[in-house]
Parts: sequence; structure tokens; C-alpha cells
Amino acid sequence: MTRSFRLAVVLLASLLLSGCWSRRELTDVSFVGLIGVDLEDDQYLVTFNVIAPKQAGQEGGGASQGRADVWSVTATAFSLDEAVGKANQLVSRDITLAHVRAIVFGETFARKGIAPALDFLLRSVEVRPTAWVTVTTGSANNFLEIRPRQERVPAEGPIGFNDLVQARSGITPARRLIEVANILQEEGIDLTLPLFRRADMKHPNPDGEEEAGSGARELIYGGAGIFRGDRLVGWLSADQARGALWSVGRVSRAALAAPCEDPEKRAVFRVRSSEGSVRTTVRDQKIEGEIRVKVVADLNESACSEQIVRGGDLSRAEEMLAKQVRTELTETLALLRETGSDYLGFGQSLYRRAPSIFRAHEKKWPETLAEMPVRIVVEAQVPRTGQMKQRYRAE
Amino acid sequence: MGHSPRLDADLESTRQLIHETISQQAGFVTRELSLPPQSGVARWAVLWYLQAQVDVKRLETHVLLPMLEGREPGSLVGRPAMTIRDLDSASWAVNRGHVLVQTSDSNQVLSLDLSNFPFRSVDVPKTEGSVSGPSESFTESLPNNLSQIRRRFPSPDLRVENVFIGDRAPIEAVIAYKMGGPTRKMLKTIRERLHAVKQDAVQDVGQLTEALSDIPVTLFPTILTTERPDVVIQYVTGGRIAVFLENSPRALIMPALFMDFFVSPDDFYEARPFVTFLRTLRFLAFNMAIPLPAIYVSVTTYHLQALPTLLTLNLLQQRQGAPLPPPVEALVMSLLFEILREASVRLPRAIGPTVSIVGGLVIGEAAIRSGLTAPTMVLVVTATAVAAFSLPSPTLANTATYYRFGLLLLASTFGFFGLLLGYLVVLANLSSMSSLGVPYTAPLFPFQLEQMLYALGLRPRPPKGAGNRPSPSLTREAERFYEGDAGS
Repeated sequence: MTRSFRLAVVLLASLLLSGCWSRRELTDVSFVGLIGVDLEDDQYLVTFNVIAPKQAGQEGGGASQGRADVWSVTATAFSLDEAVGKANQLVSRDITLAHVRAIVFGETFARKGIAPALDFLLRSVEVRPTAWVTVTTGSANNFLEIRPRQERVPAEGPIGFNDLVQARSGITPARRLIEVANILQEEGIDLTLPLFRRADMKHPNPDGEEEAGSGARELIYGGAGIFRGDRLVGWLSADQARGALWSVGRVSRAALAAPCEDPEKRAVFRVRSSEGSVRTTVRDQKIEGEIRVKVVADLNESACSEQIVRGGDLSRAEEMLAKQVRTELTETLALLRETGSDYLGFGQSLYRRAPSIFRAHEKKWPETLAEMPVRIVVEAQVPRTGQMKQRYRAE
Repeated sequence: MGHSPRLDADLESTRQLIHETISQQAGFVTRELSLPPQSGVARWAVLWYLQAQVDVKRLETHVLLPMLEGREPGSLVGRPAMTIRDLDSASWAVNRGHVLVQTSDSNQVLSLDLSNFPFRSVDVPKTEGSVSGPSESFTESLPNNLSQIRRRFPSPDLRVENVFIGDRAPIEAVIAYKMGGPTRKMLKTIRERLHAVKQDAVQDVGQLTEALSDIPVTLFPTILTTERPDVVIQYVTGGRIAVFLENSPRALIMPALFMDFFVSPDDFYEARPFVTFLRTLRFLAFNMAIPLPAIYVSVTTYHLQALPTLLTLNLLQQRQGAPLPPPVEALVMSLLFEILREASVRLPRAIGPTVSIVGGLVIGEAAIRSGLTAPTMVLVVTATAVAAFSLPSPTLANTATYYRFGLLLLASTFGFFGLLLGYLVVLANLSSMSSLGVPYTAPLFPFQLEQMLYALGLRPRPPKGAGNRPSPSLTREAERFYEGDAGS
């Protein structure tokens, strides 16, 4: 009796004192898929992309097919949480941020610094630290009008692209919220965020007429935004942005087009794997940088008139590949020097090796970057040439 | 049986006594027989029996005729004659098809077993079907059941003991084991527990489980029930004890541990890798049958962030306009399913399928179409049911049902937190149990690698010498249990 009574007390106490009362049913909340953050008259202009599935009975309202109803709710406030509160006055259900897939910063806001927004996003128990972070040219509010044709929910657009961008074409690192927070706190490395843009495309149907509907407002990949500290300082085009990935060895499956002897023709290599490292050393009081990249790629297409592959000798192909990687890195480096944003992390490498020297140069690091010599070492391997050795000729 | 009138006087007083008491029953026959005189003295005998219980033909040829020829009563009856000493035994013997005989020159009442009851013949196992392996099952005849056991395990090591259960209407129970298998303490305990049963007219071994368990009322089964002789042999040769009961077509096996309830008869005869897979599967099914509805409810009411976005949207879409909150819906659907199951058990085989069609298809489909419930809810309840059906032990499936409802209530009020707490209670319950003193969760806790490998089918034979009996150290655990028992 006393034993079961004690047991009951322990159980009840652990249940009732836990504070687990926050019951919110699926149908009590409205899910937000994307958050856009802009600046308007020194206030946050926050856009929430609210998702509601199609009601039963509506056209295409089957359980799994059919696109969801999506609309934007905009609120202006001095803080993000206030904005959430204000947005709640415009939606009949409780706004929940648990399913935010991506956070989009508008250009003006990003140029003023994204750190203030991160406080709320990291502190919130709802927002996942694994949500993607992106920037857009123009306003995020405008960007959130995207209705990607292939996705049920626009929020899936950036997800698909991030996967594509990083893994498939190997252009720029996709960043999660927690990564962004970490990079901003680290010494000597700057942030890049993938850039997405809204593009109003026309989707003509087979008769040549333009299809009506929301499918036209697509999301396209535009390169990357480069940051100094938490401020946006410039843009990388899609081609330039790959440099950042080479240096951390995150390029895989990207297609590299290397010019032949005839500069208007190309040989294309498909990357299988890559390794990369950035080192900054001090020799005779001079700071020197080094980028080392090891790349393994297959020859996928060749339009060159010269023979790239001779018998089993692939050295010519390897040379071309190495040269192309070097070219990309050189371009990236030039941009890095121009903007003063150290997104390859030369500073970080120096800080780890010789913190005192980094501290001494910290104040004028962009100038140091612009002056210091950087060695680029590329090691390229072409293990395969696909199904053919020779170039295909129709004769 | 000690307090009933004694039957050790001469024939006249016995006749008087029986005449006043048990002969009042319908169909009772009292028959006098003049016997050939012996050394000039006239002799006669009286026979008492119940007409319907006795094989009359044998009575005539094997008892009456020889007696008329001057032989001892019972000398031609194969089953040995017993001496009846009191009236209760007399009544018991008569009811069980014995013929009572007393001669005029004796003070002893003899009882001759002339019973010939009709029994069901050996049939295919009903609940423990198997694809491979033998397909004989026990019947209600105890001698037949024992003969099956002896035929399958014709070893001098097989021991069969009998115990009578009950006070005024004793029923015979039998414990069978292999010499050197169970410890003496286990045997002693089981005998004591059987003797302690005071209930009369026990009809089935199922009625003994409470009396034989270490803890009388548990949600987890601690005794294995089987209707297959081959399964009994598998366990008995492995050092377990089997309990049979007159008129019961099932046997009990003790000690039975948690892992044993995931063993199907087929497992003994199938290829091992396959057995490993199936056991793992059943274990998984058990772990699905308990918490699935609870998980669904907590995910849709408390932990909206736990699922991928698209799945959440699908769920949300289904739930739009659903009138009942998920906890109520889950409860209603689970109850409805239990009712459906109960209904299909009750109905005769010919109408059974109708219930599953009406209940399963029509109700399920209509419930979704009318917007009373979400399709996922139906899916969850059905998946749970199928998982429970895949368990070889129906008792364990019932256990899962109990805990399922418990966890559902906890999850409805407290989400994952309640679910976790409920699971802890289940675990605490499991780990506090024992079967004949052997820890119930063995060989997992206390952990024993080789036993565990055997239980998972990863080892062909049980660890050396131990059979699938709890290994020596488990037996030590059991000894400790009894010592603790004696001390308290």
C-alpha cells in the first residue's frame, strides 16, 4: 500500500512537474516554410511563407499529390519575435517555425549585417539549427513569391538547389544556420552564402501559349554572397563561386570545362572527388599563403581537335584539368583580394599556426590579403575516359 | 479426503453405507454375485458402478466371468486394482469409471478401472500451426498425451510424476522433466505449488497458471503454454519442466523467459539464419505493437517538429476537418479494433470472414470517407494490429494490448515524455519478474553471451551441457531468489 502510494506520488510528480503541457495539435498551427528578412526604415520587415495543404475536395486535393496553398504574411517590427507576434494577428492559426526549411536574407538587410537576426533564430526552440541560410538580390519579400513548378511547397526549392548546388555542380557551400553561426564566430574566416533569385520564367505549353498559373515564378541559383564579418560585401557569379569549395575539398560531381588549344572548344571533366587545404605560413617575417587541391575527375566530353589521350597516357588530360582548376582558383583569389573578404580562411590558418602574428595583422587583414603571395598547387588525376579513348569522328 | 466415512468394515456395513449415500445417483448399479463356495463356505460379492462410465462388455468378460469361475476380482483387468478406504474416494472412483467390488470374506473394497471414455483423436495443432515440423497436438486424454511424450523422448532420463489437485474432486496433474535438467528446488517449488491448489474440478492447465507463477498477477506471461508434443520435448530436453493436466489438451512449460515467447514451433526445424531474421522481426513487431498509436498521437499533438515537413503536411491535410482530436480518435479506433477482434473470435467459422470484411473494409473505408478519422490513423491502428498478430504467443499479444492503451493515455496527456515514462514502467515491470526464480529477462539481463546467441538463433546448440535451460549462473540466480524467499 505505502509502496504503491509512493510510486504513484513519484509518477504523478514527474508527470505534473515536468511542464509538458504545451499541447498543440496539428490543426491548431500554421506552418512556415520560409522566412524572409528585410530591412525597412530601420525595422525588420519579416515575410513568412505560410503553408496550408489543399483542403479535401479542392481540385487536386488528394492525400499526397497536389501543391499546397502558400501565401506570404508580412510584418514589420523592431525584433523578429515581435514580427512573429504581429504575423499571428494575420493568420487564424498559431504560427510555428518548427518546419522552417530556409531563411532568406534580403540584400539591404544583409549589407547592414545579419548577426542581429541570428540571436532570435538560434535562441528559438522551434527553428531548427539545420535550416538552410541563403541570400537574395533585392528584397526577400519579393523572393518569397517564388512558386517553383516542381515542388509541392516553395520551401523545398532552396533545399533541392542546395543539394544540387553543393553536391552536383559543386559551386558554393550550402550553409545551415548552425554553420553560419559558427563561421561568424571563428577567427580569420569569412562567410559565403548561396545566392538565389526569383526569376519570372515563361513555361509555354506545347501549343506555344504561355501556361497560366503560379508555375512561372521560379527560383534560380545565382552564385554566392560574400561577407565580411556579418555584412554582405559582394557577389560571386556562379562560375566564380566554386573556388571557395575547391579550397575545402567539397567539390564532387561538378563538371569542369577546360579550354582546348583552340580556346573556343572545351573538354569537360566530371569531378569524382577532391581534397583541398588552405595554409598560411610565415617565412622570414613574410606571410605566405598556399592552396593545395587534389582532384580526381573523369573525362566526360571532348571537342578538342588535338588528341587529349594517347594510348594509355592521360598526362595531357591531367594537365588540362589542373590548369582549369588553377584558373578558377586564381580568379577566386583575385576576387578575395578585391573585396577583402577572407572566405577561404587564410586568416584562420594563420591564427591556428601563429596567433600573435595574426593578431598583429588583424586590423589591416584585407590589406595583408591583397599583398601576400599565394601559391596554388594542383594535383590532378584522370583515371577514366568514359567508354571511349579517342575523340569521336564522323568520317 | 480424510474426513469422509471409512470403508474398511465387512460387506454388509459397506453395502449399507453405500446404499445410504452414493447409490442414490441416477444410473448407479448395485449388483450381487454368488461366487463358488470356498472350502465349503458360501461366498458372494457386491459390485457397484455407474452404468454410463463403465465399459460393460469388459465388465462382463474380464470381471464377472472370472469371478464366477472363482478367480480373484480384477485378476484379468490390465490396470491394477486399488483399495478404496473411504466414501469420498469411492465416489471419485465410481465417477471416473471404476467398478467397486467387495467380497463377503474380505474387509477391503477394491476398485477396478474399467473406464472407457471416448476421446478426440490426435488432431493438427489449432493455434500453433507450423509449416515444417510434426503436426500432432495433444488431446484431452492424459494417458494419450503422456504416451506421445514418451514415444518422442524414449529416454531413461525422462521422469514423469503425478500429483492430484483439489480436495473433494481431485484431478490428476503430471509433471514431466529430464533428469539433471531442472534443479531440485525448482521441482520442489512446482510440486508445492501444485499441492497448494485447493480448487476443485480444475478443467484446464490455464487455471493453474496463477497458482504456478512466481507473482500471481502479471501482464507478461511467465509460463509457456503449448499444444504441441514436439515443443514440449524441445523444452524438456533443454531442462524445463512440463505440467500436464487431465482433460486439458495443453501443457505448461516452466520456467519460461521473455525470450521464449518469441519462439515459434517452426524455429526448431528451420535453417538458422532464417530463424535469426524471424526472431528479430517478431521482436521488432512486439516493439511496434506497444507504442505505435502513442507515437502517432504524441507526434500530432505535441511534437509537430519531429517529422519531415512534407509528411507533416500530408498529415495536416488529412486532419483538416477531422472532428476528433488525435488522442480520442486513436482511442476510439483502437477500441473499435479490439471489439472487431473479439467479434471475429466469437463468431462461428462460417461467418467469421464476414466480420473482417464488414469491420475491416467497410468500417475502415467509411470512417475515412465520412471524415471521422484520418487515413493515417487507420493505417497506424492496422499496422499495430498486424504487428500484434505476428507474435507467436497470444498471451504476449494481449500484454501488448494492455500496455498499448496505457501508453496511449500517457502519450495523450504528456507526449513523448509520458511515452518514455510508460516505457520505463514496462521495463521496471519486466526486470522485476522471474519464472521459477529465473530472472525473466535472462539471458539479456543478467547478460549471458552464449545463451543470448542461442536465443537469437546465432548458435546452433545451447551452451555445453546446459540445454536451453537457464545456464548454471542463471540457476545460481534462481537459488539466490529462493534463499531470499526463505529469509523473508
